[in-house]
Amino acid sequence: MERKLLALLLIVLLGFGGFAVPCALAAPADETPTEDEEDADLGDLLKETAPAPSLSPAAEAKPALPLRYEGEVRGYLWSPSDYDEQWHTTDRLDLKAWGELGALDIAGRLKLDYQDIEQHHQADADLRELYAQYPLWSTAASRVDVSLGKKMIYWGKGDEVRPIDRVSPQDLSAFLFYDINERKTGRVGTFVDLQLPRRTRLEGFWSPYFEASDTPGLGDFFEPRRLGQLADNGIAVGDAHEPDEWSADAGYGGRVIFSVLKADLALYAFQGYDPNPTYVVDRLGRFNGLPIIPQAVAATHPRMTLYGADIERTLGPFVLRAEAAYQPDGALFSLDWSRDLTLLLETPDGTVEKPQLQYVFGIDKNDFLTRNLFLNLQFLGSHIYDYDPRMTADEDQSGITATLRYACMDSKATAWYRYIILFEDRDQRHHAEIDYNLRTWAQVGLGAVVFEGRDETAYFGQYDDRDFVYAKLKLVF
Amino acid sequence: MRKRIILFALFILAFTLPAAAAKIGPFAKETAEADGRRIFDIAENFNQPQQDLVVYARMTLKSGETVSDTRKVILKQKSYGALSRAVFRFIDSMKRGLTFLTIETDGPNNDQYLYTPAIGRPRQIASQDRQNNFEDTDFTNEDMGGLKLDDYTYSRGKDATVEGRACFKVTAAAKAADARFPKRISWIDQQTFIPLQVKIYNQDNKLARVLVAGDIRPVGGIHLPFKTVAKDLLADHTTILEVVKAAADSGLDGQAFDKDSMGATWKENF
Repeated sequence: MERKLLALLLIVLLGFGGFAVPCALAAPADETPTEDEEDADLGDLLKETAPAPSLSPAAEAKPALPLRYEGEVRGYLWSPSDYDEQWHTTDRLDLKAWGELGALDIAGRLKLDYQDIEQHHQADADLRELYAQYPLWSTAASRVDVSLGKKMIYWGKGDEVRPIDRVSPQDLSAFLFYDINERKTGRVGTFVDLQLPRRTRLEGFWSPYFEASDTPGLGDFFEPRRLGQLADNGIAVGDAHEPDEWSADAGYGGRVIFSVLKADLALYAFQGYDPNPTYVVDRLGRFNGLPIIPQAVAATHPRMTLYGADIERTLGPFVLRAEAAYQPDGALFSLDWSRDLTLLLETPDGTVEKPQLQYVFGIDKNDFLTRNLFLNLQFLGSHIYDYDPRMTADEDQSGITATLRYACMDSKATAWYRYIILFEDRDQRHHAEIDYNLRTWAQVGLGAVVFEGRDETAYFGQYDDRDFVYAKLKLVF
Repeated sequence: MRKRIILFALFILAFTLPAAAAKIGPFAKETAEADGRRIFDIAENFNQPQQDLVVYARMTLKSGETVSDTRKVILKQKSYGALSRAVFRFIDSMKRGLTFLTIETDGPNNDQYLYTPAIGRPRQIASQDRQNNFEDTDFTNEDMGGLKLDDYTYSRGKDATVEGRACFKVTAAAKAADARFPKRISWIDQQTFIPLQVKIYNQDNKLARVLVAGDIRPVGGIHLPFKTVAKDLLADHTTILEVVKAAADSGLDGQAFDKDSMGATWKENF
């Protein structure tokens, strides 16, 4: 743990301190420019020349295809952690292609993953998007587009924490290693996008296909501790109870986007099965004739209703953002039946459904203190209405996230640090990375992830022994 | 009959703007302020495409004499009545997909958004950051379309010749007391109303940045500098923007000019 914290500290210092020195040296001192002839013709500057472009080998070899494509390959090598003392690797090819077929715009996105942190599916392919879009109607100020296929939905204005952004399934097998947009896969359905004058936009979708998020299971590197504890106590983890793949009400929703007094606002609504699982007691055995001995748990995907809103507005040198999601149904919370098995008499699946509110307030600042230093601070929280003290979750939770991102040497070198703390369990994650562009198409990096928490079943605390440093190679084409 | 109207409209369009330019007489101290503003008013609209404009360019960044990065960029502009929107995107290198949108408004500030693929959502640019540099270039957000003429007072100086072309010289002084660059002197080509040279002064009244434009070519009914060089004199850093090709009024799709479409793929490429 201390070893990884030290590595993290080094990375942060290297990124924000070490970079600052060469960058400062690169920039000459703020000295008075030579005597300026106000009317001097600066036409000589036009003689500044630019070299012939250096293209990536892939770009140079690009064949003439009826569609365009671009992609990236990223490989990570993790140091052994205290958890299993083994090296791990996470690698991804992300390929995007798009083109036109008559009046149709076709777009697709495919990812191929290889990571040795799971018991099963170490190699995985996912067609994240494939859809055709047709411009139904278009004028100078408004237009209607209809899409059919699989498409990702991006909702909310939070930085990584987006309470409303729960519509698209996610690949959570590498837990919070990838950013939220990189974890997503699309929803199959029909999508309508209506752009109206006065910067108003309406979007709606109907998705008759259910796809669950991919979450780590027993034996995986990011095995949820609670699940592990159940297994340790002889409770089986059964097959997930997923709704029918195809059903008319698998999911539908929409949002309206508009601007008022320079503020960008959006209102959201969603009804459908939750792509993320909740574990419920699936099978009970009897004790003294009473069905109170849990024998198996299983993942379930309850139907949920979600309403949300977000707002963004500049205020002086800052950009303020807020996002909230209210879930009147479909939020299941575990009762503490491990301490009181009689709770299972009343609620055999061990959970209760309660309305929930989640929210984020954030502030952004570009060029914070110095040029090219971006700061983002967020306060986040949640509240469970009609709280039942027998639940394992806290009635209120709150936390803070902070992101610092710095670039110098014309973005050849970048460093970023992201921190999140949930106050109730002093649950924390530090993630820092420094990157250097060897070529316009090749980047190497070094990073570290440190988890902390006083509760071994808390969100980050459960991975307290899984801190790691990593080396990264990224190629774009 | 309709053809005659179109012909008449084209005739008016072709001759009114130069005529407006012609109305600007020789330099006179008494009318220097009014003339200065009028020159900028004309310049703001003189090279606006009727419908849209798309520019394919190569950007080179130099630190001292060392080339630090080269990037391909596409700039698209579209007219919405009297207002316009412009969107700028890096299409290669590690900056690929980074997109900057300016929405011109009737209000005191234009709206600007930056979309970074890693963040995955558009972020507003604070109006107070207008004079901050755009990413790691030597252009400011203001240069990228955030400039509002009403933010400055103007004074015309004696006409001068730049790059062999007769130019109006206009000094613009920022009204905001805390402006990072309170003064800019522009030399505007009397024929094309392209600013051929702009000198930008910092709060210490030192020349901090210069912008130079050249290789002016007609594109559709407007003029465009095919080479622009911006230099930060204090940091000895240069940005060279060379246009590879450009097209006006090609019927650009309006989808790209919406903040919620900033992450969408574009048909344009080079």
